[in-house]
Amino acid sequence: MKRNKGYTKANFLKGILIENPLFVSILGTCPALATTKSIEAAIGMGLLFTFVLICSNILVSLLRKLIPEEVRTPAYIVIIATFVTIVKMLTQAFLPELYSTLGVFISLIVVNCIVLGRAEAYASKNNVFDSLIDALGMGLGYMVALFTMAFFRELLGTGGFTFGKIFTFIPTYKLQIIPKGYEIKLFQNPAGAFIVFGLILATIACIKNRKEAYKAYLDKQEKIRKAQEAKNVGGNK
Amino acid sequence: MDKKHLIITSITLGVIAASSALLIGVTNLITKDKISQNEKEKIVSGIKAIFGNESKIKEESPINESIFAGEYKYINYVYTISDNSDVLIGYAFKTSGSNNFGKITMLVGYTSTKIYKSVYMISDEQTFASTLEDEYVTKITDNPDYQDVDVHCGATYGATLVKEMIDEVKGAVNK
Amino acid sequence: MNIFISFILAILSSMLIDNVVLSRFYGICPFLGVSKKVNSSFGMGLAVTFVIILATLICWPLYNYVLLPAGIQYLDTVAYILVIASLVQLVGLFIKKFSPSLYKSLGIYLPLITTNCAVLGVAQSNTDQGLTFLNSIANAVGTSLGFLLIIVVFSTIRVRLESANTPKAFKGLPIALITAAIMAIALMGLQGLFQGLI
Repeated sequence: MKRNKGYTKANFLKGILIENPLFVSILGTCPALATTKSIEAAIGMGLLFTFVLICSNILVSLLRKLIPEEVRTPAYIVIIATFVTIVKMLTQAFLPELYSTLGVFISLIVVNCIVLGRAEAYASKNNVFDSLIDALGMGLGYMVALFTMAFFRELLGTGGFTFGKIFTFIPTYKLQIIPKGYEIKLFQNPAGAFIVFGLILATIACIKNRKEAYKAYLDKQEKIRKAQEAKNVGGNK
Repeated sequence: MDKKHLIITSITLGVIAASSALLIGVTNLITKDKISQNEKEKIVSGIKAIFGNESKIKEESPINESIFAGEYKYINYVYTISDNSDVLIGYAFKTSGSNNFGKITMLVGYTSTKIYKSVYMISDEQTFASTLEDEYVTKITDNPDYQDVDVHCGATYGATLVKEMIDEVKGAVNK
Repeated sequence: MNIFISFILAILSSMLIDNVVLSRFYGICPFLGVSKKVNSSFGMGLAVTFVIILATLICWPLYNYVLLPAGIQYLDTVAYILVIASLVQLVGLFIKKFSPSLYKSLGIYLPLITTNCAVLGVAQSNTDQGLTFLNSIANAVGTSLGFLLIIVVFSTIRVRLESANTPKAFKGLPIALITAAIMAIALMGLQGLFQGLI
């Protein structure tokens, strides 16, 4: 198998930056807007999602030569739904606070475009190890994206961060950064979720535009310099 | 597609379906006990929230086997609460009811002197649960004048249901 | 008469006050992806309406008369998603036979209704909340009408945004999201719609 040396590292990192499922491919937006009211809920959702993604990628990759082509999609759906049900029952038993906060969105991991998309686009064509690394990268990238949105929503919406409400093994601690009475409660509402998401996407587009503009500027300078050199060489002759 | 292909496809799908059902069944067996234990712990923490940290459940019984037996629409269980020295401090009634927007299960606490103490929501599956929580339930918690709180709060159907349940408990206690 | 009024109120409340896209966050992917043209939004909204109502009609009896008595109610997610996937295939065949132009204009978005959070979300929350059959249907009708209303309104705004003078970083998706936020704020004002009835 021809692989260059940095393949695994690139495979892992692409899920976090270049092909971030939420901010670049705009997939899986429903849980991203609904569960990011607090950073604990966002991290919990990210962990559950990563778990389902890893399990489904591994199983689909293991069975990729056995599943016939016509029934591919229903088979993937059954596999993903199985893992989502298992995760749901385990969460209800061992993390009941997280279960009651996330509610129906744990079941909605089944129809999350990222899980099905990764199973069809990557895991059905690559071996188990690569699928595992891909799942880890995508899951981590999704969790980082959720964390970013929840960070701004909770900081601006309640003025600080609350720890220990959902992960009850951490002692409860409320960190108040913006003084009470100055927080913008809109960010805890649905409208605030759209605003934060739109502003983050606009920031990313701005950075991308700047990079491209700078690159175009450098190319233009290079062209001018080359034209000058050709002129000088022609003039000296 | 020819017959052999059809048979292979069906067998593969059948195996996947059967193994997934098996996995889910196994997980259910593992987690069933922990889930019912969690529910019991939730009731204990609810009782502590209503009556204070010094309280514990002395006995629990379905409503029709207790001293409050009768025809009730919402009440399911009654818990006799005593403090750490076994002195009776009150009763907690577990009620559940549903309306157009979902189901509510809660604990209503009355002291042994037949005065309303507080409520504790065990599960609130209503569509406007957060509005109900912020606008109505926080106002009637530990508030002896719960009758004066207006039900028109933005989640009126839910608040009406909660109030009906508390009124039914009041009728039961004053028998 | 009372049942009829509360039925209508349940439909209106899940359509306007607790709107499926702007408050419950269910159908965001097609909401952002399909809404560039008014015609395709309308077609998508109608198809989603059809699938949601049919799915509720099948899934609620499936849960209450098959899964619950057998004690295997934890298999509800698997059962629902299989029902929805088959329904979408059937609806696709139906549309292909009776209106090939609509089928062509929907294109790839028809199989995408399977991964629409709204369909599975409505079916799952009906049984999670323990609603009766009539209330589940009210929930389904209200949700799908709300989705249709919002996606058509949003697409009319988006068509005009294409030719507006937005800053370069905001072109495309970011300004559409800010618009959706303003629509959500507008719907927040409807919260006192029935003057304390809801």
